[in-house]
Amino acid sequence: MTTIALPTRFAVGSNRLATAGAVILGLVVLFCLAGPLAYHSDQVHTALDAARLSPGQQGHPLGTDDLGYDVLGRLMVAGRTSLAIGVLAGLLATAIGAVWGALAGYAGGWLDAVLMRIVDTGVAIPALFLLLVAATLVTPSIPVLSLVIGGVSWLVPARLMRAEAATLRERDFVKAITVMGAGRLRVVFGHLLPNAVGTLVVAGTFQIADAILLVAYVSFLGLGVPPPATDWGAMLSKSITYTYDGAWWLILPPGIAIVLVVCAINFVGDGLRDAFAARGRA
Amino acid sequence: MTRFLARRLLLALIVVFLVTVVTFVILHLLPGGPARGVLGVKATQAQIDAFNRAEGFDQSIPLQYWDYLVRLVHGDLGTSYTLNTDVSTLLGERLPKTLLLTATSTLLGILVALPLGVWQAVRRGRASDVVTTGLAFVLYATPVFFLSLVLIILFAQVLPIFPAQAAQGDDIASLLSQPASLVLPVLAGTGVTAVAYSRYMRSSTVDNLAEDYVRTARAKGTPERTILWRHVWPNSLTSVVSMIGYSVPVVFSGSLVVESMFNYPGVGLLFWTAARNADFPVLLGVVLVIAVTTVLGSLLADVVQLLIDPRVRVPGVKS
Amino acid sequence: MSVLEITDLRVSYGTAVAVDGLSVTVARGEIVALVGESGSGKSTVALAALGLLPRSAHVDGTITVAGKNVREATGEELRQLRGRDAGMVFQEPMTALNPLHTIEFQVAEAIRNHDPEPRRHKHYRDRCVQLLERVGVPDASKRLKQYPHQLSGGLRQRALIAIAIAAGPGLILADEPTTSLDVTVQQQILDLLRDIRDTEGTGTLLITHNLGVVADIADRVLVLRNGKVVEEADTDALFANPRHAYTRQLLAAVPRLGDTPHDEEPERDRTVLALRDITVEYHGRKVVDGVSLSVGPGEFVGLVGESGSGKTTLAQCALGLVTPRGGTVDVFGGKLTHKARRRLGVVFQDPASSLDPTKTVEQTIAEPMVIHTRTSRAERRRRVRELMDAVELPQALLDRRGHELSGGQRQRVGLARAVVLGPDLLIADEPTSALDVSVQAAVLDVLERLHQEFGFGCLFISHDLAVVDRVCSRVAVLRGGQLVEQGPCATVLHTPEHPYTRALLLASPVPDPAAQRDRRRLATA
Repeated sequence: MTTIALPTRFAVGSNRLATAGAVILGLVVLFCLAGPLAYHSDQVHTALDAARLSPGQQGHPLGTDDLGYDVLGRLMVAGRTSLAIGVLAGLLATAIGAVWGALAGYAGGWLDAVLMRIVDTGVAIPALFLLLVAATLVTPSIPVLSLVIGGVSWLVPARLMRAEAATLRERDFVKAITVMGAGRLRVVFGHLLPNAVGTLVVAGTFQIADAILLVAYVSFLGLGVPPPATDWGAMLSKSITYTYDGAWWLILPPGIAIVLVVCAINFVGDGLRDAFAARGRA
Repeated sequence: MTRFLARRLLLALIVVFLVTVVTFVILHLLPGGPARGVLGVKATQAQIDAFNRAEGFDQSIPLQYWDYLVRLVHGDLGTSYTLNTDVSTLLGERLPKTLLLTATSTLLGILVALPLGVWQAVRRGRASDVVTTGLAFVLYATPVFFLSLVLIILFAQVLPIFPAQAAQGDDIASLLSQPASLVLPVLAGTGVTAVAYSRYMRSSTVDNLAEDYVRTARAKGTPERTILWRHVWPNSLTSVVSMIGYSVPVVFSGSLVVESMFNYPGVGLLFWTAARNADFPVLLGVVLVIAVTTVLGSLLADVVQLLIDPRVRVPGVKS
Repeated sequence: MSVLEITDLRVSYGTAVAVDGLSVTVARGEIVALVGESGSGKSTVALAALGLLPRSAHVDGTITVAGKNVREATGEELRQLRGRDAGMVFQEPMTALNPLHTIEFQVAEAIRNHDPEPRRHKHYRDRCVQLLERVGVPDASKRLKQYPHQLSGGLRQRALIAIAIAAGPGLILADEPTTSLDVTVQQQILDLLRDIRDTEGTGTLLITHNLGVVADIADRVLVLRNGKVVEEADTDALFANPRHAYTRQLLAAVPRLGDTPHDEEPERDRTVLALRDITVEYHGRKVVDGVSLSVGPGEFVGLVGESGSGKTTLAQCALGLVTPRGGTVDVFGGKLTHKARRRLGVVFQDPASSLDPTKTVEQTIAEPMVIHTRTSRAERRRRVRELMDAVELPQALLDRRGHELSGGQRQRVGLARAVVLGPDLLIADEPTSALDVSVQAAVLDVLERLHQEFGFGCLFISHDLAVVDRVCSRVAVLRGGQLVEQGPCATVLHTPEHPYTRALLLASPVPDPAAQRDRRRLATA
């Protein structure tokens, strides 16, 4: 599931929003990493005798799921998976995209054409299909899923980086130093990539947000990390069955967690983009 | 102009060709090839050999690819392993329903998003813009399946206005006979498109409002309303139109999820069942359909661009 | 009667003051020039006159257009005033026109906006044709159906003027109307503005940085500096007897033909750059067509021409950035190898993009040394400091990055980088075109001193004949990709043989009103 890369995503008073996003993000990370230290719950053994308790019952503030896992504790454990895969996959996608796009944009000509047709092809094939195929080949785990998700979602950063590199290539400072004898490596690593850092950092944050959504979709399709491990998407997909039983505490917490985190990251990305744009203007 | 179109068409064909290569390679990448996928892990070597002979999988790879291409060109997408039906027949049945869903939600998305984006751009920074933009933020961060769940809980359970399940049946008429059952799937699909389109429209309009030609129009005494609708609107539209054309993969992926959430009998649900049963001919058929639609979408975007933007249509002054 | 009256105008953005207590009046039939360098606030005045400043601007003072108070006008009153009482012409005719609408639409709209009974656009077609003919657009009825990108820069500017005068305003606000145009086209546009004034009696507020343009067309001049008027006078008086020191400094900075005496140039038998019979094609069109040109050791050769003449393409051939379709490029008697690049320096036009924004001044100047030599960090540092002195930049700037420098400082850093290895050939593509005149004069001084010190041969590309006359000893004139004339500056720029060179010389305005009147007479004769 790819989301559309918007050239300007959201641009409203992004400075304050970015701060808010960073704070929310910090709190969520703290909740997932340090939460289990303060709030103890068994997330390894099922407890069928205490399944589907509603919030507040038997000392479970957010109730329990169909296997008796405490939902609040599970939210923390699941968040670790979602965030870890999201960050790893987002960074990987950005790194692949940066190299691919820089190569295409700087080289131009036939190499550019070949590289970008490959990107077009990738875009035309649904990422979910590629993930399905990957799932038949490998057993899902955090590193594997990060690799797979990163491997199917680098297309957007590649397009961004290509456009950036193609523009930078025409700038006078690149021409001047090329004329005076700078080699390709010096131009790409000494001038193109440092100047694209802004674009890449921003693309990276959006990529992390998208990767967190993608993890959720993958788990939703039942291809996520195997139990007892879980992530927010898996928590949601499992609870769909109980929609009609009024078990809202199984659906809303993981759903809201995803929305909250993705929103916060987009806030931060937006603020960063504006900050870099301001630096470029100065 | 003809050259532009010819070039775009050629690029589209190249991409479609590359997609067939990728799908073909993937088919052979699977452990034990397609035979294992169909016959299961317990199949004996003799069974596998027989299957490979029958399906032509014992020939050389290039020859198999050639066969695959020839069959594709003739509209033969193979036979479903589990449903014992032509994949092309299956797709022929399901595709109109998916198109009904995607087209309706895309159209609704456009109808909501474009005016909303302009409205937000004009009121940039005011409370109404901040609130709607904030809502768009939240909706943008909401996965489609969570959105669908929320819709089901709100409108099928808490306020039971609409059914949570789409009408079943072989043809599109049976779906249309129960329009209420279409509301929630269409609403979920619209959520996906409207958010993305309105964000794009807003930023495109904001950018265009700052252009020099707006200042010229103002300096000659053009009313603000005319500036907005006759000057800014068409210019913002040129970039948004291509973005809509390029959003086909997003729309399709969204419908994949929406269909499974609402049990809507379209291509997405077909894909979903095929995925569970490792029914690769069906999966590949669906992937090809999506890929071709994606390519068509971007081609269409370029053609529309050609029609509305004179800079693409008419050659400029040589300088 | 005055058509524009501005009293004690103050415009500020936050704490930054753009215009500081400016007063100006324009009478009917009068052309008043507002002249100043970048940052002087001159464009702000024109926008303020029509109430077009962004909301973030804080405006004080009174502005009266055709007797109406602009600052107290309601939205609708302001709309009616714009176009009908004052028309506006902008600097960039391409971006100032809507790319998606025909010329007819955009001209007709200007009429329709002030028609008491607005009708469909096509109703105004005859009037549009008249207007376009009035501003000298040939084949006016054919041009109506065309889009901005189908017109040349000069025709676009004419269309923009047609829009400005469509509703018959008594005042034209022209903001740098000829800055993006070639000199020959600039002359035509200035003639048109003068003609409109003569026949329609329109008052004009002309905003420009070009003192030659002022001398050519203005009746009265206000010299602006940092938002303040430093001097106001009749044009003849101002040029004959500038009172304020800043005005004198501005006038002295403008390069003039014949200011620099040219020595006899020695015959040279060796070259550092030899272009032979170069031809370059883009999409089957020849942009450079059989041009031969050489630069001897230590020789300063100018390459002049208008936009589209192929001068930049020719320079890019010499730099190896463009591969010519025909002909040979000879640098230091051979191919442009990596070793040869060590002896080659280059400076480009745009100060904004000439330096890598992520690098410090020191890193930028040192980079050629890092590429070509094995010098120690301390040696490089010493050399960079020497060069900072040579280009007259304070050492304190060494750790700054490009965006923290002014345009002139950036071009100096660019020059320092170009000569850091003591090159034998420098290629400079319009190195001072984007700079203000006073900055240009200083940068040219630096360039000349570097030339004396290092003795490099230089190919100097420019559209400004006076600049070329000042720094070059030999000059080549390009037109439409072909070499029109070449020879010593003393000959080509003072007794030109080719009619095109003569036309170019005649069209370049000089900061002397009397001389401009003579040249106009010559041109019409």
